[in-house]
Amino acid sequence: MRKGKVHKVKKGLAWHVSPRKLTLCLYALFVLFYVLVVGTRYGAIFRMIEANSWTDEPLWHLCRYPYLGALLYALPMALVGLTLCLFKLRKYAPCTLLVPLCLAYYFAPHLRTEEGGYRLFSTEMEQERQVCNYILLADDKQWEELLETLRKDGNLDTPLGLRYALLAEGALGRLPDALFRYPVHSPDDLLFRGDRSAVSCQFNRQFYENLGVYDEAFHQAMEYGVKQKEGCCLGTLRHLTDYALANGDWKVAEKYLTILADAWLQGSFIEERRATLARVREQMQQAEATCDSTQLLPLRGESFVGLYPLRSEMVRLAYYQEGDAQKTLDYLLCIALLEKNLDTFYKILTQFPNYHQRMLPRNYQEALDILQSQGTAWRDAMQGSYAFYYYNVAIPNGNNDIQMSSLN
Amino acid sequence: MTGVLLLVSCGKREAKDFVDALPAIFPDYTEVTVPHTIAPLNFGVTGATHVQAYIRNNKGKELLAEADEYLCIDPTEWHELLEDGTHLEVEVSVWDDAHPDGATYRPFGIHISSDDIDPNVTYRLIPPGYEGWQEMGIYERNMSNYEVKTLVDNANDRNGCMNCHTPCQGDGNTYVYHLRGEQGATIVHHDGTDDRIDLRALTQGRHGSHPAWHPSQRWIAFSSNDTKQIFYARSKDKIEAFDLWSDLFIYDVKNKRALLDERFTDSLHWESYPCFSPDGRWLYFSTARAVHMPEQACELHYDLVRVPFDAETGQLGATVDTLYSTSQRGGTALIPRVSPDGRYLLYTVAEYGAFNLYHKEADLEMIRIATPQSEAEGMEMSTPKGAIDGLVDCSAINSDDAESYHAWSSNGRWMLFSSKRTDGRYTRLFIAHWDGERWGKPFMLPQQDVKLDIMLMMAYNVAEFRK
Repeated sequence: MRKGKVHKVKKGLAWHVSPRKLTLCLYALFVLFYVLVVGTRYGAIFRMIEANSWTDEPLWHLCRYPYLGALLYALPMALVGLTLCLFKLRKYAPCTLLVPLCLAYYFAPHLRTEEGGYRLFSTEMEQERQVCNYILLADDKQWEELLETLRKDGNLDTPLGLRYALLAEGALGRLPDALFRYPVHSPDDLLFRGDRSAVSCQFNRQFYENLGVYDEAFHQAMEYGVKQKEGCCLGTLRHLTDYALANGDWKVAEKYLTILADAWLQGSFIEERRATLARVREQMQQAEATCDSTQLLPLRGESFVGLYPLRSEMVRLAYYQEGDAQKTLDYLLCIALLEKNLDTFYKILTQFPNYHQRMLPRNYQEALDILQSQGTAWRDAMQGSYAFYYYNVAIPNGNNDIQMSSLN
Repeated sequence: MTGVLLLVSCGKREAKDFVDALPAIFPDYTEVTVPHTIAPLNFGVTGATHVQAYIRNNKGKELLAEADEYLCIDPTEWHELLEDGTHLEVEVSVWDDAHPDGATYRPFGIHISSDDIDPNVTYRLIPPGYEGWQEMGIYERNMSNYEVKTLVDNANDRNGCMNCHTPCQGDGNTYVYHLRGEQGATIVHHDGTDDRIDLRALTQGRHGSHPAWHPSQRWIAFSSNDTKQIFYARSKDKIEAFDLWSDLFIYDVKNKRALLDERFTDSLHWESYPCFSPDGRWLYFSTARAVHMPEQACELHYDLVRVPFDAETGQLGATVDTLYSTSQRGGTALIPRVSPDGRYLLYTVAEYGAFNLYHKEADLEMIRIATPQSEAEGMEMSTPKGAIDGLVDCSAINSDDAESYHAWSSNGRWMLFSSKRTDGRYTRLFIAHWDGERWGKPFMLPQQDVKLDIMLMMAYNVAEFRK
């Protein structure tokens, strides 16, 4: 037996534990911990950095420089490498000192809660990661993946998850069919009304962007940016730039691009948008010179956002929207269904040409069936229409034969 | 040799091309008129790889400034040029993608006025017109250099809001501002002390907005506004701000009481933006027939009127003179400001509404309300209702974007105003020279780092001169 060795006999197996092996085991455990916990979390952290919503973090500024952030997160691994080298050189004392250093590096900055306490394996960060993931998927228009992720996370019945699911269905044009597969209760389930929290602003931004209402998307992005403790983040600046360009506000888009140019890793975005900006500027200047009202926004629009009840707002949006208002119309019809206001539903359905000579989505058809079964109001409204004839007029037996005979 | 070359052209580059046009510099300082004490007008050309400017005065003194994109002119040399001369000529050469070997542009002038200007401006910085904020503060900027000091901010309470910092005729020791929120109050700084006033308790629930000091420092006129804002879905103008009602009242600083006049607190008419004449004999304000908001927003038109003011009792006189009649001229006229000599009334005009800063078409307009002759006769010039005889040409100070909140310097030779002309969204401060007959081209408040005004995601608000 060599000096310094500890002999343990347990169920017939002899364990030889030297300081060297003990240190090695500790490091192995740390590396395992780091890879499993920190490594998986690193993905989350990176998503959050990407979403630029992570501003409570003491190292918040790394949001602006994501790869530097990644480097710093990889530093504990470098420390582990260093300690392994020292270990190989049999310098155990510094190795032992580096263990708490590695742990402190990870725990100290990231586990502090707002209350001043420390958290280890809280669900708070995981929830934050999930939210950031939904935001990113919606921004990337990966609607199917968003729905799948919501299902996997089990968040379809949470206020935010439900809204994201309905947004995805709306973007995919499936809202009229899919609406009642979700636990919806009222039109308020479609977006956040009167809620100015940062997450609500992010969602509402994406909701209005999906409808092509870029002024309101800009407004919501601005609200979100203003709410950030450290000022407007890069993600918000990119959104503001895109919405400004979509509306032809090239001057303010140019301002945001200049700001973005001062940050790292925005090169490809800036390059693409500068090309768009040049095109938009030329279009706008030409339109202003020729007073081409089809290209120019009206000085003051006909509809407001957030002022009226949601149904009323959607009516105005659908009515004044240029181009394809299909999504807005579907929201409008779905709101009528959610309000169980079938008379309004029918009026809207017949007023807009979108569903003329088209097969109706399942829920719309069911709503018409209910209307038909309800009788009077529907009958009054439908008088003179084919639907009235189809659902209400009974064809006498043998009528065709008579007609046919007389023709012969 | 009459001139002295201040800087030998050691770093000078020779541009190969000449372009017979003015350079596209930011800010646009071409042919502006500036006070002789102004800080260096730093400028640049966005996207340039090199910019070089020779600035020489009419006495032959010259300086050379150069930078990659935005110049930072040496203050000592700049002030030497301004002290000696009455006119500057600026020759700019630019190296960029269009001119990799450089291009020299047609020189432009900067006119130096010997008229003094108040040394400081105060302003609030806020996010541009939406709902939320994190940082907000009222600051004082020295115009001879770039020093900025914080007068008050919300560093201790991110939800705190403060507004309408108004000095009494530029007197830095007498001012009023509002703190909003649960602990809110109106702070009147007078005779070296801060008075926290609960105006609601004194005015049957009205809070104060848009304060205006009487020159005697005893009275402050307030309007009380229930202001809301709504957002357009698709529009060049993004926001519509409006009042659901507004009234007028006078606060007595000496006796800490408020005086309400039934004529200006009824629900049939709304009153806003009060302003005393420099002699203290008149109170000017905007008034409109009440409409149902926001449905009738387009029908909201504010006239400009004035009523006599008794500085002994704080009472408003019986007659109401209409200076801008919307029934005759249309539009809406807001924020009256009388020039210190009492001869001119400056205000903003837009199509409709109570907040012109949100309307792209909003412009500054000025009418003559007194002439030397009428002054000699001891009479105010009678201005017929809606008359535009005394209209002064303001085309030099207006732009395609909104111009609004404005203030006269104490000698009436300079006017500070906010404009959204740089990008259509963020207000920036501009200063224009008034020589008694016409406006000079305004210049943007210079910054040490030109990019500050591009990078700043805040808007300047309620700017005033301060001595």
